[in-house]
Amino acid sequence: MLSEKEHIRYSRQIQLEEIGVSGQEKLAQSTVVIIGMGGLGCPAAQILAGAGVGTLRLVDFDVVSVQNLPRQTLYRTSDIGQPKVDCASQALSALNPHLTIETITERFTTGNGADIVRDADLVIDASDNLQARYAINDVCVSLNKPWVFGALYQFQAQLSLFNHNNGPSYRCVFPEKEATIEDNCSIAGVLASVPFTVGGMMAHEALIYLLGFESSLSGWLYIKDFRDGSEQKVAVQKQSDAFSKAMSNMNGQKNHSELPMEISTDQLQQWIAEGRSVQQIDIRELWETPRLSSLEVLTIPMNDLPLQLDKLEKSDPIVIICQHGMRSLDMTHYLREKHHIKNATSLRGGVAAITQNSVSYE
Amino acid sequence: MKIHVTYFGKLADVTGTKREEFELDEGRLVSDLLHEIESTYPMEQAPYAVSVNHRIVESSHSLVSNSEVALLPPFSGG
Repeated sequence: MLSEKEHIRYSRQIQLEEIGVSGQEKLAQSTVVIIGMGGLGCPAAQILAGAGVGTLRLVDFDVVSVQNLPRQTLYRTSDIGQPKVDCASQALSALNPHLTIETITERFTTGNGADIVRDADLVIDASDNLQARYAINDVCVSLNKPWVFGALYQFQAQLSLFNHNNGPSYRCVFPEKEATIEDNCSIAGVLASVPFTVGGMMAHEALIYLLGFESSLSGWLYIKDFRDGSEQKVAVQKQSDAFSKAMSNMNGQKNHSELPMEISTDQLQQWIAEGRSVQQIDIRELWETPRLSSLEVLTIPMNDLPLQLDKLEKSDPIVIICQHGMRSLDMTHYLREKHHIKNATSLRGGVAAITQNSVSYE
Repeated sequence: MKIHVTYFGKLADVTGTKREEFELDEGRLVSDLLHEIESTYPMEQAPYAVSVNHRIVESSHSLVSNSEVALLPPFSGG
């Protein structure tokens, strides 16, 4: 039920015959996940918050940088260095105090994605890399969730509503992620108005879906060139192998036959950069320094770990970390031999190697 | 037969043009057109999907005169 204050706030929407009080209540009861709080995610979140979508779950692992400010309009200069999801949450709560804003300061991967998406009505892919886009597709396909897709290259945009009403998904257009160099906005450049417009279109598509209106994007890849104004709608047929490709990628996370006993700090960084879901466990005693401040590192001292095996991920690689890589190697042997936890591996050189290689854990 | 090709995203940078025309024999397939394009430009720099007359197709799709072909790389930015 909408409160009297909400009736007044949303009156311009409610007075539209197609929406009314029932449509506004639908929005209030909806949960939307927004993955990526950058150029597309900021305007999308702002519109959905203003329009009264009851729960917004914001996913982004990054912090605000000065180069973000021209187009990522939820952030202020004083937010530089702060987690994007925290700054966005504050701005959106100030815009509309009637909402629930949830924040997840993690990369979205096939490992953590299902838990993030499971109870949501809709997912918005406002990410900035193909690894995330395939992960979003595969998680949404595995859970049968619709998702609004938006992506940019300089002045051009691609949009769709994928996986809606048994419709096509991203892999029906781009079957496999190919190993080529990507051109995100930080490499290719971007004019502020383009992501702002496209993020707004994505929010519009989300509202269309949540209100139960017919989508004009499902089954199509819409392409707009904001330089010359041209546009195309390309029909996408559902491909029979797109589902199996998505499921195979989801299940691929569980295959650890090639996981070595030890990995290097470079390898760990590469996995993280690739968006691979990795569980990092610091088994040092609590007094040992320097501490790893990353939210992605779980601290379980060595002697406590055998009692807390239920905290270990079943499918993701588990990277065991100690000060110099000796205890972690012992622990990896122990986990593999004694408890058949084959997805455990030891970080060679431990925290000392991380510090030496100046790997940022902030 | 005349085939109109539009290059999107990075492919316009690779080919140096957004749009061009190809002259192919009747009955040629998308794969024949792609072979010609790939022998002219370093297309391996970006993967792409192909649409013909506004429909995503396989490379075995037959072209007809005045087909509108678009080469669509996946965009990653956001």
